Amino acid sequence: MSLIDMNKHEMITGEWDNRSIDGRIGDIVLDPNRHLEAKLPGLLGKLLPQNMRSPWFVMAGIGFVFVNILLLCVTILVLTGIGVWGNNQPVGWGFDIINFVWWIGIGHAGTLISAILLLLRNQWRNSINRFAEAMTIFAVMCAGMYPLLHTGRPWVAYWLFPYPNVMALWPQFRSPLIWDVFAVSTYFTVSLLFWYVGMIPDFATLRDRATSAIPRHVFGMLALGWTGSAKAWHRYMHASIMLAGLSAPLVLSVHSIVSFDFAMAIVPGWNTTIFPPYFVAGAVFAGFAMVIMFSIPIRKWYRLEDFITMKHFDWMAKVMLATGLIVAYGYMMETFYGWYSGQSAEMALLYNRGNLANTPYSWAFYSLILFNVVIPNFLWIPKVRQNLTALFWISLSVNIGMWFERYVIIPISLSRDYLPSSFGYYTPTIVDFGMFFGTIGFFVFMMFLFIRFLPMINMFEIKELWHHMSHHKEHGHDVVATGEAH
Amino acid sequence: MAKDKTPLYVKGQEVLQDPEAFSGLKQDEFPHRSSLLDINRRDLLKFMGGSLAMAGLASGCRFLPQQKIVPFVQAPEDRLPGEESRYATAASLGGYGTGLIVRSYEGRPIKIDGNPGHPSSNGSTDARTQAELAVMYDPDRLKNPQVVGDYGTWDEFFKNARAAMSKSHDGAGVAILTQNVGSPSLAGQISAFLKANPAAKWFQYEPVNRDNLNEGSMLAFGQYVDTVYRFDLAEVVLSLDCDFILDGPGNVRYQGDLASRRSVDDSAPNLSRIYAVEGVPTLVGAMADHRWPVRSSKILDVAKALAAKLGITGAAGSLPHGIDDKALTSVANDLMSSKGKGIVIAGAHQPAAVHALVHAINAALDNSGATVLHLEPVLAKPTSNVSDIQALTTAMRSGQVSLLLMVGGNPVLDAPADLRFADALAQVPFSAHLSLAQNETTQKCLWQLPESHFLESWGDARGHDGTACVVQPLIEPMYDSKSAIEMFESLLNKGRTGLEIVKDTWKKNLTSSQTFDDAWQVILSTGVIPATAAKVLQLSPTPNMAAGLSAQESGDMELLVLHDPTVYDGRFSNIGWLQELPKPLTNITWDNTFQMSPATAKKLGVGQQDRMLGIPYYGNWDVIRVTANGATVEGPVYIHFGMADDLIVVHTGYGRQQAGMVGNVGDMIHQGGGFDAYPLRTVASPWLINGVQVAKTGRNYKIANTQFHNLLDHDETDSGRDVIRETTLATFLKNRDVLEHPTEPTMEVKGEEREKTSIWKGPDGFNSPDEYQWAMTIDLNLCTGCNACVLACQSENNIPTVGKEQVLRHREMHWIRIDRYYRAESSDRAFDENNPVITFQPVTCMQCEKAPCEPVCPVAATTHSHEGLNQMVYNRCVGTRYCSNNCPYKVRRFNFLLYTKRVEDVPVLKLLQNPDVTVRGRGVMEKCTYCVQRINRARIEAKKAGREIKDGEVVTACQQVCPSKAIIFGDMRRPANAVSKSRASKRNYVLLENVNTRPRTTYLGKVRNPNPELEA
Repeated sequence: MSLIDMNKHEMITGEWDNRSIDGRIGDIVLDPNRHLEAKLPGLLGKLLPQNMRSPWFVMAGIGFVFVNILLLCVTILVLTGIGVWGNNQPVGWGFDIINFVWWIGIGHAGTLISAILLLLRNQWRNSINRFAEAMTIFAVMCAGMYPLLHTGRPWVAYWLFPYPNVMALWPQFRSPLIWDVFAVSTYFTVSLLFWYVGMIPDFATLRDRATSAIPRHVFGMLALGWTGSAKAWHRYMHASIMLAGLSAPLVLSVHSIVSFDFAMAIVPGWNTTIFPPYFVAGAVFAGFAMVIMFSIPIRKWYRLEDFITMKHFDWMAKVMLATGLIVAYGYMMETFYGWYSGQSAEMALLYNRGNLANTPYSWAFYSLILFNVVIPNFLWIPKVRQNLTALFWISLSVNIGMWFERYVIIPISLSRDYLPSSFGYYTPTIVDFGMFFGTIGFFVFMMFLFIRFLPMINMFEIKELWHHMSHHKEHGHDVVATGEAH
Repeated sequence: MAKDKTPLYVKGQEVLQDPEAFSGLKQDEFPHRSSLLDINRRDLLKFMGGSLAMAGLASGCRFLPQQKIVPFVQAPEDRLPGEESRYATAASLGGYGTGLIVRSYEGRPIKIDGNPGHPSSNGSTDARTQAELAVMYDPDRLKNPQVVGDYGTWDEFFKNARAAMSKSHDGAGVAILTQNVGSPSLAGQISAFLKANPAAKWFQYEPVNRDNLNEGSMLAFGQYVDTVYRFDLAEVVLSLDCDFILDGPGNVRYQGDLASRRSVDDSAPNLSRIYAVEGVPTLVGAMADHRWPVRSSKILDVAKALAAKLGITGAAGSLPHGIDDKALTSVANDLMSSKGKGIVIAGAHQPAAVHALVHAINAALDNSGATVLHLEPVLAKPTSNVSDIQALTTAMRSGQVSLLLMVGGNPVLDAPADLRFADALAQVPFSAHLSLAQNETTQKCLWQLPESHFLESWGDARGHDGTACVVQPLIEPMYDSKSAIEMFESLLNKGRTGLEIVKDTWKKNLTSSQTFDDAWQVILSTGVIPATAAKVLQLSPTPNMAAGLSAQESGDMELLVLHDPTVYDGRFSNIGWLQELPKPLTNITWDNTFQMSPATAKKLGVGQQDRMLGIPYYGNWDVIRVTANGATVEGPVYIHFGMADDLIVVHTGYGRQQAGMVGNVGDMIHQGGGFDAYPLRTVASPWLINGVQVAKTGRNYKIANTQFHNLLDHDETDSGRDVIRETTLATFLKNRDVLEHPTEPTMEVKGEEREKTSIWKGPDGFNSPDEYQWAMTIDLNLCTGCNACVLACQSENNIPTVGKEQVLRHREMHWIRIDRYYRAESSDRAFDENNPVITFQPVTCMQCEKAPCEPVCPVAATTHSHEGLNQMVYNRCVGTRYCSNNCPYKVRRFNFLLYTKRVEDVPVLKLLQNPDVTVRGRGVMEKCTYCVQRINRARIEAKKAGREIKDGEVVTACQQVCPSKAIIFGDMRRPANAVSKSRASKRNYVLLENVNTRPRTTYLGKVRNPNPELEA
């Protein structure tokens, strides 16, 4: 069912049903036979912000250490200059832009899950959307750090924004970097709003359940006076749909625009029209990999098996497989176009990537193929999709592979473009690695703070599903929580 | 007492008028008060409040250093702020001078240019002369006289020296050691000194000397001569292991002359033909139409065989490996067919026998007297430098020298190693060294005396053909220094100033109808003393001399010790500009290496560690241990394509321990420094050494090249790009359009077709016929790869040096670079490793009409001017480096770090900066601007005169310095302008035409002139 077919009545009343493209989706979210046995309060108790179990201390601790490494590296960078990185003359962009693109990509799963699946009424998303959205926020934070810090003079990086100034100068709107500024800042704003709005009813729950003054006040403020009235719910549903409508195009636009940084340039290996779709697919690919990678340990540590079911993993693995195949197709077409162009610089680039014996970079290209094309194909096998260990490692492989994809595109293309005299070689420095692992640490740290202080699974949507299930069960339906029984 | 003289960089007239009083004023916060009690309460509070406010401001948000400036109260009459003034002067190297015109701003010289009136310069200079400016502003210069580490004064020195000399009344035991002296004034001063002290002895030594040339001329003619060449008249040139483009007296002139016969006019191409037989690739070899790599020790055999072919009696030789009889016959035929219009020239490191034979060959070909001229020696006293230093050392060791006065040089480092000069020096009770900067020799002397740079002192010099020029100071000596002539004057207890000494010299020598003072004024403004060229001698070589020449021995492996292409014999080691200047052909910076051919490296089992975990990688070079002449030296190898097999070449001038902050081995700033190759040289074999043992050390070493060649040039995809367009003269004569076609398919279309199909609309060339449209052409046929433009640009545009570690990261900042390409010889696109055909291509910002850098800059920091310049606005740049990524020519340079930190920290380096050009801070992009400051200066002048800028009025720094005039710049709107004519040439082409950037800088394709006999 598409958006256009959406029942007008629903739009007006905000009445929420579980109708979706696939009528059987409902049962993968919660197993009625199992969940109806359990008591709702007990079930929901698991969804409250989690207590600090030992994995939390370990993970948040590791994250915190790397946050400090990040701060140290950023300090060194800002005090000394870009020279502390490995960037050099032919290779103007290295880890900075690789990591930027990589993090932006990782954020995409959150938006896709929360916006597009919401609009498409794929309710299986309900268990994972909250932390997927949180991942988006933190990933975009990590990503946004790089374009700022990769400028030679970060203290004037605000010149990239169109603001009225005494210099009477606008930014240069023809530059894809300006498009990036708009795309990423819009993306971050909308994602943040969406995430926040999605949490309002849960903030109210937390406020109501708070036992001490501070959480009561904090959550009270965050809940914006939510009372749970029908009118409030009505408005809430509208806001959700609208924000989802805003986010949905962003899923496609942000990474398309990021890919314009390359596609609009004349560097051989960058100047390719296939980049926008293939970057978007890659982003979803990487994003889902990150969601899987993150949810597997969380599910185990916080005993969320009741909410994140094997069906979830199966579906996410399938999305990953599908986008992975699009990405593989992208690699194929990139190679084809390189050859088809007939330009010696493009041909040389292919040679440079592919010749294992004579070029210093081919290892990166073959790693990319291994991690991104070969390994994800194991997801065709249903048993692999059901094996969490295998899924974890495959997701890790995809994340590494997607990082290598940017490595292959950015420094390798730049290191040898047109004039053989200017060919160079890129070697990252310890500060490059420090910042990269630092952002990973920041991401992990923020995610665990999120788990500790905010509900990581959407409580009210689970309650709603539970309600539907129990309702339909009473009416004797076998397949519950779907719209048919209405 | 420490007396560190203030540089001529005054804050106000008060300083000059009464420095003592002024420094009092400066110290006192409340001037003009009789006592502290005179400050009233109000003033005190006022000052306190002000101080607090200032302290708050200063510590708050700004990092700008605080400085006090005091304006001129009464400005000097002749000084116009912002106006440049030019003075003629001259630089000397190896005793030979080059006339210069030096630009000065407000009392400080900031750019050296050649003097068009001086025959050794013709308006250009080489790279080393450009760097003389940095030599003067070198922070490591000697600043005060010192006596073994303690401060001394000149008066004290003269008193002590005179006392030491007075022990013997005739000067017995007094020795003077100078470098080769060509300056008539200095020679006059020395002879005056010798006259006053008849038993005193004068020795000359420098490691790069004319011993072999002198000995060769003695063999051939029985007397010392200087030989000069008229390359502008030569149809055929044969170079035997000689790099007359890079080195030696007259190199700038020779390069220009040679180029004048390599310029191809569409209508009447008239190219000379160049042959090179050489052990080490040289710039001449790269320019040559035919080149044969032959071991340096075998050049004599080649010369003998050639002499035999030309019918010179007594000559006979078997041809060595590297050149066959057919080739040499063709060369001989070519030389014969252009009798009187050929030149055979041999390198200064070749033994005397080769020079003698070359004299005989040139005589036999009637070249002598036509294209090869023998002159009376230009140097004041031509001697064998090695014999001199040997005699001196012997005397020192036997205790015969009680007072040694050294002027310049660095014999402790560079005297033949077996003389052990340092030990001998320790036996001299009174030693003094007059030196620009501290070095190994200065360290070991009793007295260390600061020498004035030529830009600070009066003097004179003679060019390669003897034409004399005056050395005028442009600035007061910055330190408490004296020039050599002033020092001798004081030693003789006379009181003339430097100017008076020079004037007296020329009063005697000048014959002119004018009064001396009038003539002198003319000399000062032109810089050249007329009618001083050395007399041409009509000589014929000793008959049958060739028969008596002994053969040169050669072993399995030979080592050639040469001076460095950039830092010379070590005297420029502390000059960052020259250290970072990529050495021609190898593009190595900051280091010297043991260079050898690929076959030799293979034989020795050494090379580059080019794999890491089996993956190709740009790794380190093997370090080898070379034992020769009883000395062992360790250094990295480097494979240099085109070298003769079984030959290792090593350059001196590195491994310095006392060069200064920049040049010392492993110093903290720049990390380079190389190794010292001087221990390998001995009296018997200062250049070519036989019996070399090579051992691997197992260690390796990183070498900072600005251009890779090993892995990359082997890529099968590297050629076939539209980079160099080259053809032969024969082909070009048949088809003038041969260079017009791109070597690969291009989407570029022209005219109406473009308006229909291209997304880049608009006419080619210029948009506004009312405005200047700047353009440049670079003639690949004329470029010799000498690198002078790189340094001229560096000097003009305040380009920082970055150090070896940064060069290793490809972050060198040169705005213009000389790309070196090896020509692919076969369909498999491999070049001939043993003897590649080399082409140089200077690349700088192309000023594209459709510049790819412009649309990608997010803040519009790089924009296009109406005059076609691709402008860089440093202030606006945030440093995303996107422009550089998108530049297909990779000419943009980014300040990855604060490369100008040293300029900020070291005050004297501030003086070196051109005030017309911004000194860039970190985080901004920079690139060639077509010397926009010069354009604007010319624009102002033209506007004031109400006229248009004339053709040739704006000369870019690279164009100005280019000895071969390969660069033409100007307004391309006017068809009569030189640049328009050049662009209309059939050879004109666009670099990377297929990327559609429509550059304003275009190239003129290369046309070689191979011998048809050898082509078949």
